[in-house]
Amino acid sequence: MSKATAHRDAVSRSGRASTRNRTISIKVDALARVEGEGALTVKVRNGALKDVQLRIFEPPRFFEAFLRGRHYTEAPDITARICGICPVAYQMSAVHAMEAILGLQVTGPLRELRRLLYCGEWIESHVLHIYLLHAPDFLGYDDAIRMAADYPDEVQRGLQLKKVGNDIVTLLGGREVHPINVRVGGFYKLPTKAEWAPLIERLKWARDAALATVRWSAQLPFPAFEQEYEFVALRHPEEYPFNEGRLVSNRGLDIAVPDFEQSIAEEQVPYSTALHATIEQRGNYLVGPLARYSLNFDKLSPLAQDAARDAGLAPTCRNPFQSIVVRSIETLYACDEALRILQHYEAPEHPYLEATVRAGTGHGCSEAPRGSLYHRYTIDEAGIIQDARIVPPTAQNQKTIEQDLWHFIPPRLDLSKEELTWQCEQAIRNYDPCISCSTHFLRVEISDA
Amino acid sequence: MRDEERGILIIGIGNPHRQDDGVGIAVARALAACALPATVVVEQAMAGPALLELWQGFATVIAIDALAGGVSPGRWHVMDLHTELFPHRAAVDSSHGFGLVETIELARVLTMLPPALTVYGVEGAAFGFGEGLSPAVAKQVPALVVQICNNVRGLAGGAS
Repeated sequence: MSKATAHRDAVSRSGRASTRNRTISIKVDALARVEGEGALTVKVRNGALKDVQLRIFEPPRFFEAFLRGRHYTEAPDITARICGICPVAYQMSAVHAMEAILGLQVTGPLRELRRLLYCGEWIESHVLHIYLLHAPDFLGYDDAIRMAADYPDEVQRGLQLKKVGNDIVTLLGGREVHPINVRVGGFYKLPTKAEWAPLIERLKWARDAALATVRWSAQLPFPAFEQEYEFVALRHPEEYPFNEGRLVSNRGLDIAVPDFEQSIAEEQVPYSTALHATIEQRGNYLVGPLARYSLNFDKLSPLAQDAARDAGLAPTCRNPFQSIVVRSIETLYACDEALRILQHYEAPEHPYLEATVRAGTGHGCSEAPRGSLYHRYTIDEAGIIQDARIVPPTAQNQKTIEQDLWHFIPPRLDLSKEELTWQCEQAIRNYDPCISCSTHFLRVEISDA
Repeated sequence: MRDEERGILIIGIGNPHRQDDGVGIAVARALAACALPATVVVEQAMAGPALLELWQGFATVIAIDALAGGVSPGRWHVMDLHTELFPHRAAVDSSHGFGLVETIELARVLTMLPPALTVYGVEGAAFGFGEGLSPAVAKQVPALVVQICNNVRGLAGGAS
């Protein structure tokens, strides 16, 4: 018996009192191993699931309001502050929106460097979630510290792999958290080719470590839980998406980024400070690694495609619990892509493109580690922001997380309340939800209805 | 082997934009100005797994961080993390919550603790937005700097 199975069985044996035919209410007042603060309430009456509420109570942060009146050049630095895990995503969506207004098209090595910076963020964010936040769920540990006692080599591999992502962001972004080197038109300053050289060797190690991560994550125990999602992600004709492309879905959505608000509606629900998003006339949808992977498998590098096949993952993945494998594949892709960029890197003549300010409205959408992140800005002729709108990925996924739980809980009502609560939390963590970003989220409550 | 092998690493941890949370940074900056022998001083906005790599190769690590929930602002507590455990249980609830306690306990599990690790925890009074330490905390910084300087000089002298 593996360490994982043994530990898990011990967990499952605890408290076998069945919840079937009972009236229960699960309340998790502070969801653990997610970013930010949220809660889950599940109500079961006479053996039937009556209500599921993913409650996000982190206070609204008013970023859209205090962007108004600021100069357009400040948007990437202000919005980077929304998240300590995915600041690059905020910077990228912001600069693309502003460049749309100014008529700038960033191409060539500068565009490649933006992809490189995004590779760094995907590596650090995905690896953090895989090893420190999500793997303990599958292996039956309360947290990564307890898991590390039995899996020291894996946790150390995770920490070292994450560090490579951090180092890319530090070198190109100016610092590890909330990078400061991104500007409209490019970067403030560029590292020299000599400064990149040590990273190339470390990325070769990282690519091997990411491949080992795919193999390790693929053998974790996954519940059979395939869902019929509408996947939404960027799709680009030539590359796995980071910064550019059309927003597409597996059910016919195919729009340019500026049409986002014509197709996606946001609504307030009384129990969440984050708006719920739906596709007009259709309902909830899913953004993030599963969607990106399933809509863009053919754009992954051959190494990442082969690793997915070898791991037994089909080109479409509908089991959210397998998102840990998909994140591993995206980490592998990010290492591979970063290496490709650096091995062909020729420093651009200037670190940024100059722009002449003009009034207008611009839209940007990029693929944050957790999914599509949409920004819209209106600026006046002096470059002052008049209006801003930000739609983060976790907010878009809230309704789908609830839908998952509506399907996940009923077949599991014979579990003990403790076990059911644990599994509900795990189902939420599949999404690597970033509550801090979405508020504009995790505690779980399963209590008497 | 790194140049710093067997040297001393001082880590000031905190956010100077959150009042007394910046005391670790204030102490580190004062220590950096002391030109201590065989010592590297760094500032870290956040504790976290990056520390495990940062302190690799150093024989002695001294970390200074603010303590919340104290009753005597400015009072400091010296903890030898090889002989003591932190008074509360470490748990990784989010990467945002991955603090010094969790980092040290993870390092202990992974046998990645430096040979000597001392934490100076300084009780703070105010952790709101804004720069500058509260008067009670600011008043104690020079004495803490002197104590750490003396300890470091003693360690460096003993090693030479």
